[in-house]
Amino acid sequence: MDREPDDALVERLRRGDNAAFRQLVLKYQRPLYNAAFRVLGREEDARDITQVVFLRVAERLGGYDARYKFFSWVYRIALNESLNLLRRAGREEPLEDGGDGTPAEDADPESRLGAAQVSKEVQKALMQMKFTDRAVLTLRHFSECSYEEIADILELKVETVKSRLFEARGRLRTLLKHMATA
Amino acid sequence: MHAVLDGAASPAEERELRQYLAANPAAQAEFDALRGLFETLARVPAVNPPADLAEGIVKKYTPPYRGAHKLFSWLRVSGISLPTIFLGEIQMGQQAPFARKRLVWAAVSVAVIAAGVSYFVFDVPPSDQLAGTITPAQRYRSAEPIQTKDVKLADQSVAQALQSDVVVKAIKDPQFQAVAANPQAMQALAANAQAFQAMAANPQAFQAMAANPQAFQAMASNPQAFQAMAANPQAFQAMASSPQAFQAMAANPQAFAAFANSPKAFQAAAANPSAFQAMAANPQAFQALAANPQAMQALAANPQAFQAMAANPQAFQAMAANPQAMQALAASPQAFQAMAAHPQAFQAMAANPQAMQALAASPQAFQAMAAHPQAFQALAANPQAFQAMAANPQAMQAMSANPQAFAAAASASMASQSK
Repeated sequence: MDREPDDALVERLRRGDNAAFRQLVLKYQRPLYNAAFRVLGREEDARDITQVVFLRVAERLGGYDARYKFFSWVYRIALNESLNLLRRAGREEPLEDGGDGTPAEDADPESRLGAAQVSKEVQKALMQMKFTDRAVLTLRHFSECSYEEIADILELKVETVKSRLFEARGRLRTLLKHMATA
Repeated sequence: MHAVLDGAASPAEERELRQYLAANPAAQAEFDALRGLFETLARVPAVNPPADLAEGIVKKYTPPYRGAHKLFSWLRVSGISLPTIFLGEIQMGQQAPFARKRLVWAAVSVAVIAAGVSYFVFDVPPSDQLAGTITPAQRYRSAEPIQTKDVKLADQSVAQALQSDVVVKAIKDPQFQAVAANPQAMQALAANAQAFQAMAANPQAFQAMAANPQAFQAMASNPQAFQAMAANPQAFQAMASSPQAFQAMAANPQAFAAFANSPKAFQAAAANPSAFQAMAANPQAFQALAANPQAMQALAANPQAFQAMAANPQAFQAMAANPQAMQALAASPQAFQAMAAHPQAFQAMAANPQAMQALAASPQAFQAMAAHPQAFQALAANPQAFQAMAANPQAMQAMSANPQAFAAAASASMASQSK
């Protein structure tokens, strides 16, 4: 598997190397799709957002500041576009019900059923939360970003990220507890 | 608790938490519940994107240069290539009547562009040498003097065309190499700030230009062009972040000399912290510059330009790490004096043993430095630098020949020892 650094791929893309674009798409489509799905709750929306992110990358490449991580940049675009989509659709408020997503095929087949159930319940709870809660929980728990990376993506201070995570986890716990007892 | 479960706590913090939890059952229960949440979230599987998503995105991807391709396609259909526009080699082949008509229009456009470029860019005929050269013979003079209303300026659309997006798009086209090979065309482009910004922001175009010494010289001799680039952090960054483009520039002594000898251009670049930082923060780019003795000499021969660089410790450090660059610098007393006047820059150099060795090997440089008590103090305050200097008899001789410098060095050395 090609492990060419993002900086090198971006530089190649800037020079008009379309193969670099393909590599970036292959590298980031899955994590971006997953992040978009967790904050939007719909697979078709996640698909749209993933496409839009790469469209924006192509459009804004000239303005991309190489001092920042490409990784942070694309996640930021994904979250901003997700929020825009929700606003346009009047779905900024928490949803009553969310999708469950199709578990990845590389998951253990025996645990897939249980994992699918967990995924469904967690997603339902997430969709009842504010977008900011979903974003910070998604980046930490599903995209496995560090505090610093989340701070970079959301353009927040690390301390703010920690406090938002603390509060969001508290709310998620309460929601999951209610769902378990319901 | 959150930091420990996130794996962001230090071992000491983790130990502290364990001890606290052991003594507080309620806190332990809270920790267990929180850990349960982490475990639940960890069990959430990743979702698979649709199988055709990646290919769909790649297929939809439109290179940003499509518009320029259209322009070139139109020109090709018309039987005209960019070189023919700029070189004026229009060939009348077997064209269809419609294509021939378009070709005639294109020829007229070329004539207008050529006239406009000559008038506005190359100053042909020279505006300051008009007297006595184009004064009409007496017999052709009108009885009535010419009024302002009688004077019609050349077609302003030429200047407007150079400001248009078409030029910007053309620069981004891969066929820009054909244009870059033409010094006159490059000069015309360099006179246009917008065009230049677009070019500098496009590494491919920049490389094509930089690879052509004549073209680069034509551009580099235009301070306005460099100012335009320096005033645009993005453009400058694009150039600085392209080692190939930068190397091409650094490898072209004439181009670099033109740049370095233009105090306005260099100052404009240096006065723009983000632009200069972009260049200095790119080790490859800066190394390319520093590794080129000729380029460094050109730079060092310009005290103003050098001062601008010396005022930026980061940039200076990058240069100081390169013995060849340091030697080029040390061989130029003027440059050295300019540097020595900047304690911060000097400290950056003094902290670099390799740089000091290169410097110590040059008596001329040492003499220049010894004439600056401030610089000398900065050097002497650095034990490593002082040792490097002391180990070189020639350097010591140069220093001892200058009482002021020696006193400064001695006092600085005493001060550092007493600390």
